[in-house]
Amino acid sequence: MRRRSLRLRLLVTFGLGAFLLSSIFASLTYLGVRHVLVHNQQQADLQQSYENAALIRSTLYTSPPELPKLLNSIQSATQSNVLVQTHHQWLSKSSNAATADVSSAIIASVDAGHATDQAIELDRQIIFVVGIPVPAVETQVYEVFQLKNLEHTLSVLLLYMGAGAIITTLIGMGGGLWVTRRAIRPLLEVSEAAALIAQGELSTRLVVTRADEEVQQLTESFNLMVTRLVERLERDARFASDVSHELRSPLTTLATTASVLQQHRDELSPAGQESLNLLLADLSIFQALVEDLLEMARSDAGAVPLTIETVRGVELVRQSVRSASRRHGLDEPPVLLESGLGEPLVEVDRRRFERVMTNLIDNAHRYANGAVAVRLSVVGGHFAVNIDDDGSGIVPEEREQVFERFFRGRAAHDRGIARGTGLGLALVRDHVNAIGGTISILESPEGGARFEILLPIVSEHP
Amino acid sequence: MRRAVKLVVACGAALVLAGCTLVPTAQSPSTIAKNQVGFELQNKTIPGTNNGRVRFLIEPIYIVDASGHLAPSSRLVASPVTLASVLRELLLGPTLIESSAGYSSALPKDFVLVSATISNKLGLLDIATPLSSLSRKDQILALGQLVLTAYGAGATSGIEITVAGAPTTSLLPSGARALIITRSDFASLLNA
Amino acid sequence: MARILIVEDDDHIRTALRLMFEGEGFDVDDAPTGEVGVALFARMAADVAIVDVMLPGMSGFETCQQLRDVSDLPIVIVSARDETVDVVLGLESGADDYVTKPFVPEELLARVKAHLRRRPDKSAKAFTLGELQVVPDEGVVRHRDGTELHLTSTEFRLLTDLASMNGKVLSREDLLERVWGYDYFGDSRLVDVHIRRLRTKIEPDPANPTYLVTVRGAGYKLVL
Repeated sequence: MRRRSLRLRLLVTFGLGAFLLSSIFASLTYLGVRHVLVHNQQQADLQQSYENAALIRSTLYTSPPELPKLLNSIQSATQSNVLVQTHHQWLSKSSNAATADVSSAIIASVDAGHATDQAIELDRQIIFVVGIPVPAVETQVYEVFQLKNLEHTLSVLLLYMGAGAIITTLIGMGGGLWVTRRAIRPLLEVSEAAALIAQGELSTRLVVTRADEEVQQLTESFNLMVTRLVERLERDARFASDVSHELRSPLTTLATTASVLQQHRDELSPAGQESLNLLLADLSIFQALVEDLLEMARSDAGAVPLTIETVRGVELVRQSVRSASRRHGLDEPPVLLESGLGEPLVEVDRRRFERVMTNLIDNAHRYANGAVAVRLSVVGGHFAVNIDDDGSGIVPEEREQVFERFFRGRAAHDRGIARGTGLGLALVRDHVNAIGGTISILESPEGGARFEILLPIVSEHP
Repeated sequence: MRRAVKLVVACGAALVLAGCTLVPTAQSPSTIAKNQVGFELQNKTIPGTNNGRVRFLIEPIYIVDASGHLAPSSRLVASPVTLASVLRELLLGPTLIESSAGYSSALPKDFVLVSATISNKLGLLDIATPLSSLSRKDQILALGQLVLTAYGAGATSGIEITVAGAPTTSLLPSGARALIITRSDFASLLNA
Repeated sequence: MARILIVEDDDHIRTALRLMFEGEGFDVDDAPTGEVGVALFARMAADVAIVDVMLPGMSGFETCQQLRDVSDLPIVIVSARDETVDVVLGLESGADDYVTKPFVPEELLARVKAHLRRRPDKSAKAFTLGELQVVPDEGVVRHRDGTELHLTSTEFRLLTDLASMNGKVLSREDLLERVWGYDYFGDSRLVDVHIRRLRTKIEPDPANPTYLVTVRGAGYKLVL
């Protein structure tokens, strides 16, 4: 079922409806008027033919030789042709009369003793033939009327009716356009607002302008819904933030006391030492998780404004890689430059970028024996940072999902390795997007996963 | 729903098209009831008269055939038939059909019959201009047409012609002139 | 045997910190409030201090300032917040470094040790900055008229390190490593704030620096 434009359908309906209604109305009017006009004309013609027949009758009674003159004077007076028949022969006719006008059917009927009339088309002309038997003078009088005037009148009427129908149709379509616009506009406004909100412009609201009750209702309901949802979102964000915040102090104590225990490790029994190991291991996970949660919550709430600086991309990556590796005590992957790279400048929040690199290198270490290389290049006006590993890669179906919070892909289940917080990649994507870049997963030349970050280049540093 | 719409559209179109022929025509003639016909036209007699009627009778007239002889024809003449009415028909000349068959009339088109009456079976014709302006042959044919036609109309004793009231003599086929001319004088001119 | 002053109102954290630093061989003075901390310092000057920002009564910033007024010992502030404004405020109050809670205790330990290690490099040569003379082996900056300019050891170290580069640029990361001893990436805000503070002290027009110059996209350099 193809989706059709509502606007188009409304317009067509209006236009068609107007057309139909106006044509039906015009037709009915025309037909009605025509009926009346024709009937009246024919009645008048009949009356006239009766009068003429009576004249003919009295002339035949009083002065038969005057008949031809009479017929001609009738013709000139009334523009109708008169013919008189007797004994199945034409007795006389007016000068313009043509006996061919009177059909045998009419003659037969008149001969049978009935006054008869018929409108027929002859030589593309409509004529009205009246035949009257006048037994008193043993004749049959035929009168042929031209209906030119009537035809003219009717054609004018038809023209006006037609024009009226067309104009009405156009007005109908215009009306349809107006109604459509008026009805559809609120819908469009709502969809636009919804799209903006989906993009993240949470302050978008519909403007209450119209007096239409239904539209007003829609507007108010929509705005209320958005407000409630936003409040909810903010509450949720605050919750995560509040919880994490509250955890700071206890965590600090835990971490510090664990360190102290570590200092006194030798004084512990083997069981105590093993317990301490476990404690330290999970404590670090706990800390990492709280840190990530806090960072996530701050990022969601837009709490931390970005400090954008213009830096040399290559330097930035080099330093990030070095510090990220050292932070976790990992081997530092080589930073490889594509030939002809130049000195691209990018605008980033350095701290966030460091976080991104740290998370990605940590991720590579966790799931793929560490990052093999970090390759830099320029791709279509963007500075491309590729973190490549030689692990088992990420299957195409999961390449979007891995960026979701707490997503455990197949790799994690397979390896049973020390789990990350589950937020690492989610944070990576958030930060990359926040600094105006994009991140996607491809395949590395070594057959493992490649995380490609694209940052818009500000300008080439000379 | 779609079908209903299509139906309505078709109806509309039909209606529209029906109005296209301007004045409606009929396939066959329609009769008018007697009481609708005015002036009592279908009465057997003429109203306002004392049962007056007119009948058309077929009266013989004589015209000239292709060979120059007199030939009989007939005309419908309204009753009451008078010499004048019959002669008037004669003076109208041959019909189109008769003309195309070669018939003609010797009587000139401008021949004016002032009056025609019958008295004691004798026809008295008053004409405006004398026939002497015609050729001899035409004169005789014309007179023959007159006398024979008058005979059929009841002037069995013959006819007498006056010109503007003044009696004149008429030419006979034999060449003589006579005041009264009869049928038998001109019978020879008939195509035997 | 270094002495450390710990000013922290949370009992548990303070106790844990004390245990940890004592385990590392420090002499620990711990105080639950800023006032007590300042009093303890007056009695027995510590070599390094850790001050929490959120204190009842006198705030951590004030405590910092009071300590700074009487000594140029390295001060590390600890904050539950990571907002730039707090960091800046803390550094402006005289702190040399800051750490956010929850911190990795080993890291805090490492930083404290680093600050203790990195005393001004006395071997560097003296140099002039306009009206000021910088004398590293004495650890002072003297005005031409003889008055001394008060710099913290960190600021002094920053200045001398940049000077030793002979006008070459040092990136923030380089500075963090050299001056603060970060093996891994620290917070470049430390560098920025310290540079700003330094400028207010040595530049004739701090808003338009002529000596301590920013090189966009690269770092800082000292123009002699």
